[in-house]
Amino acid sequence: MEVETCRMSHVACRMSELIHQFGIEWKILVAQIVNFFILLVILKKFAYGPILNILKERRKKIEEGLLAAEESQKKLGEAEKEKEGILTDARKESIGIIQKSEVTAREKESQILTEAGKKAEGIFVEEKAKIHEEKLKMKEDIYKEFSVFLKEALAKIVEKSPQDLDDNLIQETLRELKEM
Amino acid sequence: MLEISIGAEKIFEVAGFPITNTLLTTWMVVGFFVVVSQLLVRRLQLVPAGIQSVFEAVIEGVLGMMDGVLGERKRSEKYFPLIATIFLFVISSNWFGIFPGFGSIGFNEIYEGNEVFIPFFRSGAADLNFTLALAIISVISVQFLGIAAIGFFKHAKKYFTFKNPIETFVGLLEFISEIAKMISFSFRLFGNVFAGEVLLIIMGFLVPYFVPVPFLFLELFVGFIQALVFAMLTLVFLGMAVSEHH
Repeated sequence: MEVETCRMSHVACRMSELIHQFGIEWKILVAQIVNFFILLVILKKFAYGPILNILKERRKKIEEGLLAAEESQKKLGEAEKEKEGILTDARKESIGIIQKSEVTAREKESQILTEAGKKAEGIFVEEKAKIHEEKLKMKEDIYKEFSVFLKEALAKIVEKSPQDLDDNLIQETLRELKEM
Repeated sequence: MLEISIGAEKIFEVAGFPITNTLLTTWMVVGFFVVVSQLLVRRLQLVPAGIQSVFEAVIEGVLGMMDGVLGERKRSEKYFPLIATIFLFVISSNWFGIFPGFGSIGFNEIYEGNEVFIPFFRSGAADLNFTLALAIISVISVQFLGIAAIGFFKHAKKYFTFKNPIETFVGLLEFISEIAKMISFSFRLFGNVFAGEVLLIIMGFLVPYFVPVPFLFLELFVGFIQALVFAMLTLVFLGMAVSEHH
């Protein structure tokens, strides 16, 4: 702007000259401010918001994944320990069972043996008694028979005189007795 | 002879509203982000791929930087849109300005008796309107967020305190520096980008082939650094505003 047309004070005149020289125009200034806010709104809605959300979501996912991995690792360790414990217990228990069964088996064995021994003894005694009884009975039978025989023999002897007694007679008598 | 204009050139006018080449570039940047974010939001997956991973890398980077200044992720996420948009807006308009065709495709116009070349597009930050707009947004939103975070009176006490003369004076200086911030913000960015543009134009004018290439890389770097500086300074001022004064 030419100095002649400047009717303001000196400083203000210089100011307006400067503004003119630099091409400052309030309409364009406002337009640029509006441009900035348009850009701000658009980027906020379509770029910053969604991307920040996605970044957050990804961070959360990764954190969750890491936590899950850690947890599963811990669980795995626990399971390993538990398995070890169970195995040890089982081993102990099995040893106990074997030992116990061994003891019972031994006990049973001796029991069976004693019982068998006892039984055998019982049978033996019984048999002995039976045999004894039979023997007695036999003896008795023999006595009985013999007494009958003796009686007969005596009777026969009484019937005959001793002078008649010869061997043949005796033999005959015996034969007769036998035939009886 | 090449004409270098400090102000952005007007291309046409719609109902008294001047459309400059920097404004066109800015609209292109906004349009670019509209398209990209639409593509992005439609194909958002938990396992990132393609454009999503680029955006995620940028967002993670900015968030990490913010964590370093603000101290906690929750606060970073709260103020993230402002800082990230400043960064993306500045870096993309800077880098758009390096595209071939920017500053070289245009038309001739008779201006004040001379025939001058007017490019259709010009790097967004090579216009003080753009940088000043961002500076105003930065400073004012820092003030608002400070008030929202710790309350109006506590925030005001940072500038106006009568506990002792020294603090009163320091507070006043701080208040003035808030206005100075707008100027330093806007002129820093404008100066860097405009100087880059001028450098590229002169290099392209002197030696059109190969020689400008290292300068293009330099401008890519400067574009990134300036975006980072703008966002970082806003972040630091924000960090100071939202924490209570001791």
